[in-house]
Amino acid sequence: MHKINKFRSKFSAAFVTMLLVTLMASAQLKTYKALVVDENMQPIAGASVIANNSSLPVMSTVKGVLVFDAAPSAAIQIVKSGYVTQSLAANANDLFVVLRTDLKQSKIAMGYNSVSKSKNTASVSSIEGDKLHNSVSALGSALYGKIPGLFMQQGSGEPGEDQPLYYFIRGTITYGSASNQPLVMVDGFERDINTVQVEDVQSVSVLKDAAATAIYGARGANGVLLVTTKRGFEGPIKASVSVQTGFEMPSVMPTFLSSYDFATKYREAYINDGLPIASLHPRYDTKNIENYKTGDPYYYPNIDWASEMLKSNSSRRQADLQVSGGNSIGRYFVSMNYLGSEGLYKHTKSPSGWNSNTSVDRFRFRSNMDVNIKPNWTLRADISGQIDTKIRPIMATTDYWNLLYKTPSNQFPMIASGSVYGGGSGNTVNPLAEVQYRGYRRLNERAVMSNVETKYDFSELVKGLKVGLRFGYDNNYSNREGWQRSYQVQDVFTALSADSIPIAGSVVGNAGSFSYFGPDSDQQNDRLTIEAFSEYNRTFNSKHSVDAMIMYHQDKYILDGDPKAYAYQFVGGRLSYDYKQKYLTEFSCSYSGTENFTTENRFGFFPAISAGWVLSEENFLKDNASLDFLKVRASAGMVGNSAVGDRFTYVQQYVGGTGWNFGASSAGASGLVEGTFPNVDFSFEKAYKYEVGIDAHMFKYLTAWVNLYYERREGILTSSESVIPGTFGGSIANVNAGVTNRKGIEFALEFNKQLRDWGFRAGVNGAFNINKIVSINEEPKPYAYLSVQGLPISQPFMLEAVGFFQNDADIAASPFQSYGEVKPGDIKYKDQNGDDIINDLDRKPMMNGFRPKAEFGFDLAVRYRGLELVAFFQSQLGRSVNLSSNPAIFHSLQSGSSRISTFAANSWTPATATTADYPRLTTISNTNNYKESTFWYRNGDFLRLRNLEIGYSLPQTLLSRTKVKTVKLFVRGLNLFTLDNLKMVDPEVLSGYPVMKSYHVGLNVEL
Amino acid sequence: MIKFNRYKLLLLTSLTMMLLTACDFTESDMLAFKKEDDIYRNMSNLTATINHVYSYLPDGYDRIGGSMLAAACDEAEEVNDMESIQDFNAGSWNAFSNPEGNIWTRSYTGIRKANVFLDLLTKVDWTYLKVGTPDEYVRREKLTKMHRYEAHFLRAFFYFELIKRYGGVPLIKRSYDPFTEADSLKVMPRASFADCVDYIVMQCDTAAKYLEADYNTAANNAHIGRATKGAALALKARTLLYAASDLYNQTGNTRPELGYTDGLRKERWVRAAKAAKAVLDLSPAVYGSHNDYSALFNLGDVVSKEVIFEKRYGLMNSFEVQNYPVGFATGRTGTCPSQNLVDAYEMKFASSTDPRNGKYWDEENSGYNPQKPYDNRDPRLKKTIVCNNEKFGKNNTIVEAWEGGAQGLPRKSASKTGYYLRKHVNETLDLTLSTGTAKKLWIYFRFVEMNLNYAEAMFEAFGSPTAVSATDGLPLSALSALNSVRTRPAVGLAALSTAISAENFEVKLRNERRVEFAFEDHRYWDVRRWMIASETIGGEIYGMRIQSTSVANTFEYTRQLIETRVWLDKMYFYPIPQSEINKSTAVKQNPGWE
Repeated sequence: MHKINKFRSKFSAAFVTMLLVTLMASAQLKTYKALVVDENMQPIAGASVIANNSSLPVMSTVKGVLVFDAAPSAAIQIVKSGYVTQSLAANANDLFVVLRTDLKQSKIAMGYNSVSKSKNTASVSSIEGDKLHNSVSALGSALYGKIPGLFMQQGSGEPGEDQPLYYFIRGTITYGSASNQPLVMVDGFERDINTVQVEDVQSVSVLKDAAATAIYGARGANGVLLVTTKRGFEGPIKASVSVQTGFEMPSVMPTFLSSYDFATKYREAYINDGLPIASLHPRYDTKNIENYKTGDPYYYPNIDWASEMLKSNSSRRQADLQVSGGNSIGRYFVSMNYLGSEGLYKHTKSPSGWNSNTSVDRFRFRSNMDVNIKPNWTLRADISGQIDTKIRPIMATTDYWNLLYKTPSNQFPMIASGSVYGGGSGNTVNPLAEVQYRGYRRLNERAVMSNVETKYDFSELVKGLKVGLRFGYDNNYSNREGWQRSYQVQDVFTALSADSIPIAGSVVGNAGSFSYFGPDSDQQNDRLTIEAFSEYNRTFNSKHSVDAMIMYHQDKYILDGDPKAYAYQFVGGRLSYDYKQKYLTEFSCSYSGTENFTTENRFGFFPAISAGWVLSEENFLKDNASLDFLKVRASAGMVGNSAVGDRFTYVQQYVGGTGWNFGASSAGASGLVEGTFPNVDFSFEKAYKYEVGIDAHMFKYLTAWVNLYYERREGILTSSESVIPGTFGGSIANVNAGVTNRKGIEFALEFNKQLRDWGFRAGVNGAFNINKIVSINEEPKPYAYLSVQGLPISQPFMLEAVGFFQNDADIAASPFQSYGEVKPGDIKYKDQNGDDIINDLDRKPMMNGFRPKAEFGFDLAVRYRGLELVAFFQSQLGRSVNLSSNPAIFHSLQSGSSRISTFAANSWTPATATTADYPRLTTISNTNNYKESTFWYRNGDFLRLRNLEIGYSLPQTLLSRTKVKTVKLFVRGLNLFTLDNLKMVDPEVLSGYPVMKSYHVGLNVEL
Repeated sequence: MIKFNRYKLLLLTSLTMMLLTACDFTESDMLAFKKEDDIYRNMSNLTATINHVYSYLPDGYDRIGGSMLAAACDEAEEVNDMESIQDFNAGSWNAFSNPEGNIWTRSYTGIRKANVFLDLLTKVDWTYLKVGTPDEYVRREKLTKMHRYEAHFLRAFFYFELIKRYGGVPLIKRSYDPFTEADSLKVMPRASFADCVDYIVMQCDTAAKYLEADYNTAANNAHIGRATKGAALALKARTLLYAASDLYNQTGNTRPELGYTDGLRKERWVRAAKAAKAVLDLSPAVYGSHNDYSALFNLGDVVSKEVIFEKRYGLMNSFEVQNYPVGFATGRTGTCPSQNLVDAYEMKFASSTDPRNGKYWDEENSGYNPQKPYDNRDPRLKKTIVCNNEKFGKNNTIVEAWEGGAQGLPRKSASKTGYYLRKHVNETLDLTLSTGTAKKLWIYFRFVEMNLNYAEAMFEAFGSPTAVSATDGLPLSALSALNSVRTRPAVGLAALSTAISAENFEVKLRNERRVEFAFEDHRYWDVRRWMIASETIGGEIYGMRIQSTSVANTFEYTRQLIETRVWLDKMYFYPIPQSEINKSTAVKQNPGWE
């Protein structure tokens, strides 16, 4: 390239004197080559050049390469619709051009329309799909901490079940049976977010305030999560293929005492209980206990079930294919995906061919089509679907993990003999037999989602008018089937003979033959949506812009086994007006209702207004070099929440009740009983929302915004039974009398600077909110601190542990603890009300709830040429976890656990009285120590490295002669590192299949 | 073409909008709901509604967790330390938590369901029910009437369940609207114990007047298990016996809800005796005693003259799974009889004139053999309790309760007392696959109880075992009533002499109740009303340490303390659930539980 330029210079120099002056300018043309990219370093195709105010007939390629000729001193501008025009000083040969998204033109997906970011007056946060790249199986799992105000918590790590536990926009605000979950819309239709492939996502928007959600009426109060999938664009065919493989392992595993240490501790527990060891438990007799040291694996085994039954890591694979393109008539986006993932269980392969290891195989497809039937008549037709097949052991997942933690390590070998497993009359369940012998179950899940939209432009009739119809039809189906059989167990050591030889017990149970079960647990649901709408959009005198929309919506959701379909209906609309894009106002509303409420309370009117002022358009700021954009906005309105949990509780029903047996043959006779006493005013919740916010862009590389909000929620269903005496004698419907409020702040700050060889992106976002119960029906409490009124929703109450009783004198001198006999080494509680007795009246609000008060995300990306490093951290603050939620690990020798975890290793004994950090061990049910108390609560704050990725894109020079656009290799790690206060368990998932950390390698090729 | 399309679309859109808005899209089909008028216009729905009221009667088997109430007094010890019943024995129960669950709410729920049912009856619309043949109409009328008095009986039963635990309670005699009448419920105080007793008696009297004497006829036998006249009278008799007892007649009591404050105790005993007599008078026509003590508790679904009121269970085996001795198929061992109970069984030798008969084991010259402690005892011992080296199960397997034996310590789940439960346990089930099931009965009232209730009331009323009162219509003495129980064929003990002292008679009478009604949920309440709980519910529980000797079938028996239980006198009355105290402005907590 350099050579050519040289040659050209020489060439022109040779002829310079022979040419006319008028030709001189063109003769001095220089060839430029520019690379045009967006802020995320994605190449921009179709960018054009203006040199000295005249357009050049060139466009950038799909690789972002723009080659043009211009005079060396020309004023050059790179132009692309949707981006801010970039002026260049044309003194370099090779140009690197970063086009920033133009707020005035870039649209943000809202409820039933999209609005340019600069004109938006509502509270919306969104993220583009290409920032979500993540090796996750559920779209939800790619969103942790990414969108300020969207609070999420990781669920189980089991393959196929690893979607988030909940999505709460701005945390919780309603209590009781009502849902805090937002409405989730995929491409405008209510759908499960986890049916969307991450790679197919164009953007995810979170609608938060009343202005953004009023159109959803009675369903908008908890906010709305909008997912928009990618569509095809006019242009040459584009294809992208990705393959990746990875392996995953538990982020943390609990540890347990070895058999010898366990036996010693167990003996200690017996001594604490004052029970005779020699006669009752010869196993732990002094002379016998030593056998655990020598470790005869048959009679004195030392089995760490978790490490025996679990692999050190499990594998997953994923492949994605996307093809898109189109012309002025039709455009398409088609994708197919496969995900395969196995669980951690070992010994799951049966000789007869089946494998009970938990696994998922998932196929997904999507086809999004746009057709211009006529120039002013468009049709959109999308269909997508998924087929999931999941294999599981017969035992429920959480039960199996608990079993691994609870099964004693010392009492029986894995196999007693042949196909008889270790166990006994008290332990008829053997972790090995459960996966190796018992069988498996298969869960089949299918989903098809389809929608059609047709829209006609009536501009020739009324300028700016469009009318259309939309239909959506979705169906989901799942069932379960499997093979199972029973197995035998034997206790090889029930007693000790006179000469200290273990005596085996009899074989318990019987080895049945396989029986097929299912297909059962059938679940099928359908949703049919019909919408009609008309839009009006026009600008008068290039100053007054009007954007109006009115629509009708209805949908019916039919759930298997529920004779009453869920029906939603509304008429809604919006009217926005702005003057010179400087002063913005919008009014939106809907008249909306659902089938669930009394006729009088079924429909509600939900209005919202919002306004914005773009200060940067004002003269006094317009030419400010450092401030690119500044807008203040405010909104107010009322939205409803119809997901109140209860259904039809205004009807006094008679329902099936327990019957009785009568007659000479004691035949069963059915029973009928009055149902819940009705709430005749049964209705939805009302949310009054107020918000102010600022959006700013500075120095061309800094984006910042902040929101402040207040919400008051009224009409929350609150218990009647907690205030009506039990002498009434029945269940009473909840009444819409609860009130809560919340206030909070959200912000995001993003720094983005791209240079040719280097690129930096750093972002921080955060959300903090506090909610408060203003009114709730609760039992009158004898002490003010027992009331939840004025406290955050889900505030835990507990006893305050103040140490362990040191001796009998200590017990005698302390307030009486009413949870059973206490001995030295038991937990001592603080007497909160000074009545000298410890009971439930001493439970005080302490610590935090399980859900966080604040959430932060930290995003960091560094690029050097083709090499890129991306790290994303999520942090939740202001939360507590209750270790008692996993008694299998933490309640050693209690709650059915026959093991002692290292958490209890330093349990109280007279000798360790001053250093112990766990109460005395006991083999007898002990209520006192296991009451909810500060002893079991821990600060649940954490900082987690959600995503770490190193990517390398092959240099364009290598690819320039091929049809390949990009080739990217990447190594990715998820949940690699967590900073928290817990050691034995994950701060998010305390029991069941744990949170996994994973490593992936992958290759992405774009054509 | 374009024109056609765009107008068609516009028209279609507007039409769709209008059409859809017009239709009641959100209207649900309310016909799927059963409402009040579907009940009182339909006979089988009415019957189903009263059937449900029965379900609030207490459970007999698997009463508390998997345990029997017997394990909360000196009858037994639950083998599993983690069972909730242990909270009673550890004293760790209070107004916030009670192993029995929330009996307060459960009973009031039953009471409301009975009240609501009576409301429904007032709305019965005979134009809907008067269908079919005239016979059918008559049958429906009769059935409706029967159900009405079943409701009265059940309501009384639930109140009795309340007052025996809590003393006097708020008397809810009709159904309330929880919203418009919330305040009346909140200010309703506890009625006096006397008023509650009178209300129960009144309900029983009303029910007894109209209910059938029994359903044991071909035409009626589908109703077996429903309340009868006898059931109502038996409930009245037991209520009056309790009401006359020490617990509710404490001297110096100033709180009417905790018992009587007047001194008319003798009248109460007479009233109790009369009430028991009323049931006895139904014998022999309706009631009599069953001739086999073992079979009585394994009737399955067989009808017996001894049974006055019962809960009829369908096929089940949970009780057997819970109580088969460990080592018998899937048996887990549950409620283990205590040495304290075993010691209550008298000596009985083959010769009826043997002077050792009727002595307790530890009396002088009782004939008790420490090597064979279970020989020559009241025959009910081995019918109630599985002792060491006795047979159990359908294969007549020897129970090895000795140390190292198949059912002995240190085996996990082996009985700590050395005994296993036999009464109520169906030994014929095949539990190896947990598939063997059988029907069961739980008897709330049986004929023999009325004899002992009568004996106690007579004795307490007149102070002498032999006294009778012709003027009161009580021609039978306490002694005769007690002897009729002791000497009945199913037991065959010697009659007590008329020379017995009043003091000894009381001992014998109370012991008879203890032995006769072991594991029938009597003693737990009897020792409370006699106010002897400190040494029977509290105090020491013994077991038998059994060691095999070198001689086959010879064992060494040593009594050993296995548990010391907590008793505090406040426990004579249950604490009212704290939440009920909180919700009411008028209900006062029982003493000691505040």
